[in-house]
Amino acid sequence: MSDPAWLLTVGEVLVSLAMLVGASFTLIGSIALVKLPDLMMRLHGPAKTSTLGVGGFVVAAILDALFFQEGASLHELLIIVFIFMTTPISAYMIAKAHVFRTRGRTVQPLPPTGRPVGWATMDGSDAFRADDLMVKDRGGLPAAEAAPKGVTHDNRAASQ
Amino acid sequence: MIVYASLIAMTMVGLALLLNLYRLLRGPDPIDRILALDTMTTNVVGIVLIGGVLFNTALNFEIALLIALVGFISTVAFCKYLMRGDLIE
Repeated sequence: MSDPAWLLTVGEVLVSLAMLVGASFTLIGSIALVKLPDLMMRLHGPAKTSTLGVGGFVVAAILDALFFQEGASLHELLIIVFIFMTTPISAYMIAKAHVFRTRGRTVQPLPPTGRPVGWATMDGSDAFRADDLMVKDRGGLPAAEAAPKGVTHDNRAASQ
Repeated sequence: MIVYASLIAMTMVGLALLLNLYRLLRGPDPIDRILALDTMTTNVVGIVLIGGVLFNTALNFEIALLIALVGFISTVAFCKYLMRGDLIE
């Protein structure tokens, strides 16, 4: 494969640009992790690091394989698909653990939840809703019609 | 040009790792340390990808994928332990 010289130059510029953009976002995210005062603010920086920073590196790797090696190999996209899927989950888990640990000693009290339990805890109401859907999909069992919604929920909350 | 860009990018990501290490050592709450560890895992994935471009090898992508997987699972496990006091209930 005989590429013209200007194509290789364009490839070098594109790979270098993507790599420097990714490195800049990574550094900015870590500076935010050090400088911001509260954990809920600090959570923003690394989220941008993992999407835009690693995204820049993966784009650089794909372009490098496209221009300078035997064609593009797209299995680098697996990394970015995995990271895009898992970053919101881990950020959600960290925020939930923070809310759960600092309940009762925050500066501003949390708003009421409308449930018998506080924030970031499970009272089984989600499982109750799933049960409700399953019963409705089966075409209405007699037990579901005999027990109204509020009574079952109150019983469950009282028994826990 | 790619070699210089890779070295500059690796230096910047190494500086970011040092900042994460500062937050890991100093973080006032255990959740700060968990967040710093998660960010360090992401940055190590970035360094491995840069190394793959710099040394022209395709083996590094599996390494990066494994590191990302282990980092995600460890973050979820740490948070779960802090929330519930147990991992497998």
